[in-house]
Amino acid sequence: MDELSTVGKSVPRVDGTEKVTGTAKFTNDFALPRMLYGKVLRSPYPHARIGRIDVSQASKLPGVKAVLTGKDNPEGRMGVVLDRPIVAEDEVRFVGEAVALVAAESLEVAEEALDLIDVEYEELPAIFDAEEAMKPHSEVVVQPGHHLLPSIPAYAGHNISFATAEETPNVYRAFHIEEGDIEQGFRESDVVLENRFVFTRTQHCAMEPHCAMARPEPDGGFTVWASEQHPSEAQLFLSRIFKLPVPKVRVIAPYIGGAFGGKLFVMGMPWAMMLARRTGRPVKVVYSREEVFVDGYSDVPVVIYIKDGVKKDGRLWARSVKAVINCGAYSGRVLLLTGSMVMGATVNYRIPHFWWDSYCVATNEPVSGSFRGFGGVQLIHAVESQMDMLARAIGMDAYKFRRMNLYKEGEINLLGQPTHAVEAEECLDKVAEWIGWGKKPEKREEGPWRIGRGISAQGKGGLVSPYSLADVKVHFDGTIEIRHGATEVGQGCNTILSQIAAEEFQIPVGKVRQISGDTAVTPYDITSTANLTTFNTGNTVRRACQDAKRQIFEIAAERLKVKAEDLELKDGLIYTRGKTEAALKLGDIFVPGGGGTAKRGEIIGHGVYMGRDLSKEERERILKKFGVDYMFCHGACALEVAVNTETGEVKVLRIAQCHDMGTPINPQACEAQIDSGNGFGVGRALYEEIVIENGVTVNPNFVDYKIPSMLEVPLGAEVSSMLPAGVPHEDGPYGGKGFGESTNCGISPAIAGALYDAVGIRMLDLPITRERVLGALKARAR
Amino acid sequence: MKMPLQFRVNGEDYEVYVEPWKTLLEVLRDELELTGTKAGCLAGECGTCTVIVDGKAVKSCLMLAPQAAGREIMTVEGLAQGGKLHPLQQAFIDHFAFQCGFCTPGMLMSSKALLDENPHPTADDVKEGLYGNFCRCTGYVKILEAVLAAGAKPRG
Repeated sequence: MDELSTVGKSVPRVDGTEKVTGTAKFTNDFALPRMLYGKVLRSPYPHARIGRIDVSQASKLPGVKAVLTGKDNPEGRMGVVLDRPIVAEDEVRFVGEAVALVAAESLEVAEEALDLIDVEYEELPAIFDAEEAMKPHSEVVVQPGHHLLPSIPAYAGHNISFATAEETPNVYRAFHIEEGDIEQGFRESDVVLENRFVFTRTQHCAMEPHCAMARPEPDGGFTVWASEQHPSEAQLFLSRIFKLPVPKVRVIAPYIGGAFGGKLFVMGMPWAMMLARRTGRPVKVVYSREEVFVDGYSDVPVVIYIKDGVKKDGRLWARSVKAVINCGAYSGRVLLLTGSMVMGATVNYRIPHFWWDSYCVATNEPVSGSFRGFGGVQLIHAVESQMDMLARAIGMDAYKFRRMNLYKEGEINLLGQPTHAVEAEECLDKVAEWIGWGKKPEKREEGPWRIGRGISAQGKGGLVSPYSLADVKVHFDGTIEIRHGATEVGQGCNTILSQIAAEEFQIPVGKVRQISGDTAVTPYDITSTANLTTFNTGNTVRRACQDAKRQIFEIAAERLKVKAEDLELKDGLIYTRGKTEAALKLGDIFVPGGGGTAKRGEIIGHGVYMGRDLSKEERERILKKFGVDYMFCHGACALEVAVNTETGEVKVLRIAQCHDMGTPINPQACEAQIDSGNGFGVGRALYEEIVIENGVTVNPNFVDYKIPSMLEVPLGAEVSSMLPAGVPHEDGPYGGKGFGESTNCGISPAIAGALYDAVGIRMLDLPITRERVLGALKARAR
Repeated sequence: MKMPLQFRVNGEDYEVYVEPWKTLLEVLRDELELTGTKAGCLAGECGTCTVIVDGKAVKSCLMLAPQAAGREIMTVEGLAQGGKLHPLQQAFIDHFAFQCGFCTPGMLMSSKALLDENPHPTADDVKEGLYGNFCRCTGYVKILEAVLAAGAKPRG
């Protein structure tokens, strides 16, 4: 490939100036004339029948413009399975479910009105424990008849198989994969090790609370601004729910203040639309931080049973996993996670005998959602903790044991898909070297502190089939405009996509303008999730650029009497290949004054990417096995912790991560993504846990739910976020692939390993709080 | 009942009429339409609403608007002067010290207050000065780099 001018360079982020000057607009920064404020009355009971709802007092309060209940619901429902009523109808199924909506002239009045709504509830038995709820013939059934509900078309191909509904009515989905003969595998193993890992619920804690604003339009449609990661799908959802023609719902996702999987299917959108429909005025719904904790689609609680068999020589020989996933009262996106989670056990290590069962189980807890890693955090913690224990059991070094079992380029993984552009070994080597693996730390103890080291490796993909569209419009002055449906959630997609387009047109990044996440003008994109945007939307934008160039060259070739394939474009000038003097200016092919060309009108290139080219048989084989054909990313983490044996406190002293990403499009932005995982990983490992008692979220704030501040993460010279050499992915844009979700998945097992190294206790569950460490130290002392 | 409130924001004098229970954050965002200052928790826990009041970093969700009467306030919109970015803003861009950008205004204002008091802080000074500002995207690595870089430059 020729030397690249922009791709592969750490160009400054294109959203920089806006974001440092306070001019970047997030949904809540918009306000409209005559706008009302919407608030939600939420259920205090985990499971109850709704009796009479008296809204008369609330409606009379001056300033209140509408009070709505489930009776006012539009026809459709929300969820991957369309199971969540917009507002509860006959029953509430979790504490925090919407029971009534208010729109008022001010937030204060709206909040006051909530207190005046009188709801009669008849409490019903509730169930919170997923393992209890999945038992056959459970007395409490969260949603009878759930198996009969339709799922949304976009996910129809995702191999969503429903469990037998009669016997286990709370099991919303079961997912199974197997390879080899698992029983034989265990029989042939020299060491077999079995453990149970328990993970509690955590929140994404994006700094921006969820927000949606809906404006009714004169044609009966709506414009909806929302902190929504998936505007394209939101448009389809909302049009179905409100029985409107698709173009009558325009969804605009402005800058999003962090998402991490938590801003998909934002409920605020249909609530704001219901209120806007009733009042005829724009309505904004902003979640309080408490509402984000309660109904912000937090990460799932999971119980993982894992049994591994290993040969004395270090070969992983058999692994069986059973995961019980607490999906909460409605399906949310967790049905997909039931399949997604398997990637943490299938794409990194070679295992001849494998067995997987996962169950998505309904309970009367709040609705769970997707979270950076989509099951990877939990599963990789379990797998990598096992790897440590297995290595110890056979007397092997934990780093060498991992390394020898890693898939190599070209090997077919347990999902039946090829390992490609893999640099897992190099990642592992780099972090091991940086931390000084195999050498003793300078200090092993200081006062009550004990020092230890841990290591992990991880592999992941994403459970979303690539599908995105983009348009590129070329202006006569040489600037171009890319229109895509990805959303800038902070990951830097607008910069990466600008770089790809700038490279194609050989122009500076500053000559690329983006229009993103506005369904009136931007084409469909399957979501900005699942490590997807660089790979998926990047490919699409590149193809759209190439299509636009093809159009330009065809017009220019006719004018110049040369072949179109002999033309090149550089910074607004058209060259005949090999010539140093430009043959035409780009503007020359336009009607004088700009606008468009005489023959083709506007130059707009279209791009579509739907994954790699596969034969029909190959595609069917892969889809049957897993449902999605995608790329995989691999990485490694090594770190050092100090454990206070008197207080149980654990501090991460140093941390290194390295992740493969094909060709890095913007190395410094990639490093920043790796740094990003550190904060998440440390928080998840040591502090974060939503505490739910009888269905009630008891710590919905940043005082009682701790996320890391600058004082709790290693910084400066104590951090190394490394990129491997960069083996190009053959199907990625300029060889790039995604990796952002992996960066928070390998930290907790490395911390657990380091804790073991420091004080000899093995913590299986997360988070590893001071209390739990101290308890384990005391238990051992007894 | 609304009451008059006079204060100075980003070098401009304002007189607005506000309900006395409104917070400074609400007045900045809703009355002055300075939406650069963000609302992340409304409980003084996250730091996204940080502004500078008479030289000190203040969480504007915890200050009632009347408490700001007669005082000098600076928000993120006031950082750049004459179309030129403040060194901290430039450092945040150069070091990739923001991602989603939602904590950035508060982070910048806390950093500005820190540098005004301590122009050449150490890493520990920065951590001490910024631990009240949460960021969920960056792991803080590049934020620390950016603030130290801005602090390393000669002042004036």
